[in-house]
Amino acid sequence: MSPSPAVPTILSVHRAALFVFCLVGCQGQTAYQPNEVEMLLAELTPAESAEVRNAIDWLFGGPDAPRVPEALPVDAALVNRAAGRAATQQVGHNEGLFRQHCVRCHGVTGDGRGPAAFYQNPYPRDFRRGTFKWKRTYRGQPPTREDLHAVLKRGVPGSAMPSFALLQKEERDALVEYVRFLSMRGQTESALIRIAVELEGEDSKESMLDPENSPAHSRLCEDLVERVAERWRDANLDVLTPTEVPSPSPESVRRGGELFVSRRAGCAACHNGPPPNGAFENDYDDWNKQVFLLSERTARLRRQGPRAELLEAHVRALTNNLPPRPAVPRSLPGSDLRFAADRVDLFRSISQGIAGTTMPAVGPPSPSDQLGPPAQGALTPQQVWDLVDYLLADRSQQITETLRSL
Amino acid sequence: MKCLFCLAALSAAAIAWAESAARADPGWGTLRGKFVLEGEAPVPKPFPPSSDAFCVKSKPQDLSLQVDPAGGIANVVVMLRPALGDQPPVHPGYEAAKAQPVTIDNRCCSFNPRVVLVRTGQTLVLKNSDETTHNTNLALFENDGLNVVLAAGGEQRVVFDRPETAPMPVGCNVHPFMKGFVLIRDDPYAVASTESGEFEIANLPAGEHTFEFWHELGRLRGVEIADQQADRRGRIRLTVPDGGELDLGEIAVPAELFQ
Repeated sequence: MSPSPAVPTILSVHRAALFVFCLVGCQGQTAYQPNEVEMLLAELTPAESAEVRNAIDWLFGGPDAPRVPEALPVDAALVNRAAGRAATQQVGHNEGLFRQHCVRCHGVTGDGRGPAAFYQNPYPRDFRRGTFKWKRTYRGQPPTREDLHAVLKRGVPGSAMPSFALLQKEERDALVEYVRFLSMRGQTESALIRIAVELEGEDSKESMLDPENSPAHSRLCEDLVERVAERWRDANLDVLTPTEVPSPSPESVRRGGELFVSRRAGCAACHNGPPPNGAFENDYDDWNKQVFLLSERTARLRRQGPRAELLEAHVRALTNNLPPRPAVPRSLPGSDLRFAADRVDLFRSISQGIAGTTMPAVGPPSPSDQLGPPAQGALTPQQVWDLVDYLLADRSQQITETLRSL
Repeated sequence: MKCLFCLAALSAAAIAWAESAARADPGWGTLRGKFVLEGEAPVPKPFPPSSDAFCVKSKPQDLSLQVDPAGGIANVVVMLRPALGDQPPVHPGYEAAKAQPVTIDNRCCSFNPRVVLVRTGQTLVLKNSDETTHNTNLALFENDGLNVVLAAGGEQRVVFDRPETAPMPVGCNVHPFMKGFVLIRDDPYAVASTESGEFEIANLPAGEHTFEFWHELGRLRGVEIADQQADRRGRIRLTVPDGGELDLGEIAVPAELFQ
């Protein structure tokens, strides 16, 4: 029997990926990469971009020696165990876990641009926005540690994210903490970019962002880190817990099917819409959108002509980033669900939508984003349960039900 | 058909927004002006047909650059830019307005108004007057992002705790051609120009300030305003007269800026 031709191809891609990784990762000092896309979208000058890089390195250190600012709700010992080169000093105690297990897809910076990222669909998560899809908190809030643990343990079915259930619990603890650290670092970098925009043109000698030498800027950076930290503190994370969990019934499945195709819920507009699967040209999730916006900006620069150096920087950044892909809603009912271990998980994904994606919330916003009594969403909790039951019911029955309700 | 009244309603809302309390008290002053396009105005294009029958009927147009027959440019945002960390004093006349909610209405498959200003702590109402389902997606940096479904006739109310430094995009993923912007600020000193291109910010603290001139297709870089050239971020320094008014007159904006 001849070996499958796919095997050597996959192996060689894998080897090539490792080789590329080693070129970047195994020689000398490894560095976190700057968020070029946001810097260009904010129209920073090269000098301003350099200031932001210095400031973020001063605050957070580098991947070989990360620094955890005091305000961050992050365990520095766990971060140190996950960061740095992969090494084992004593049997059963592994260090540099992130580089051992995660960087091939998520990259050293956690920007989702590891050497294997290009070949995956969906792309690996870019942690720098601090936005995560699979979590129990309200849509706009960061995930809890337990949420990230659950993803590590189970992986994400239907994507390239595998399960890390075979790692020791404390190794997963370290990886979760490091992912949180990289997220907070990314959000701080983003905030520094906006600060650089604010400082530009200010009539004072403090207009260069320089926290290392300017006490005013050092305070400014501390405030900024504190604002990021505040959003990640456990006390500020509201887990959505349904007040009751009704049992599924043929009746709820039927109601869910009707709702699915109704104008009110609007599910079918994307999940069962015009081919392919209701995908909208030019509509992107938050991660792809930044790069898409940059490509639009680049096209405008090309039309306008004169600024050749800037155009070159745009083209370079586009080449360094993954080509944006339009959002493709899952074809439902019928496709496997990416992350719904139980009915309550699916209830949350429908109620809050999926953070960072084009999938909106039919439930209310977080109580902390409202004044007065808690609001109702576009659908009642019972209607959300009906949709859950419809999506989890026997597939052939679902299709019959849909056709009947049409 | 009610969609015929959309444009009229849009301009009325924009004018209502620009209105404010008593003006030119001692210690305070007013800034006004009008943006006029220099060059050929674009003809608003209809969007490619949507799969939503209601939106096909509503005939929404691409209003990313909205110019009236006299050349007035709508939705240019004029905003005070206090130095980093500074909070300008706010005239007490703005208190009453802050207690009133600000609304983004999904009407005729467009966001209405296209650009809104909301202050931190002020209620923003996301509303859907259409007979179809929309969603409103606010991608924010400093505040929790938001993306809610609004069924026909539905609404959702939210408040924000932190200012954003620039107008942030508002989108609808069911109808991705719908575009809008929301500017979240601590102070009330920002305004979008009306359909005729005019703007007025009343009761600014008197004295010298930096102002920024922003449009969704590009900042007003290099535009001549009050005998100065705006910098690459569309910013200039202006002095608001004590108890008086600074009228910038007609500000000519070259059409190339929006290409």
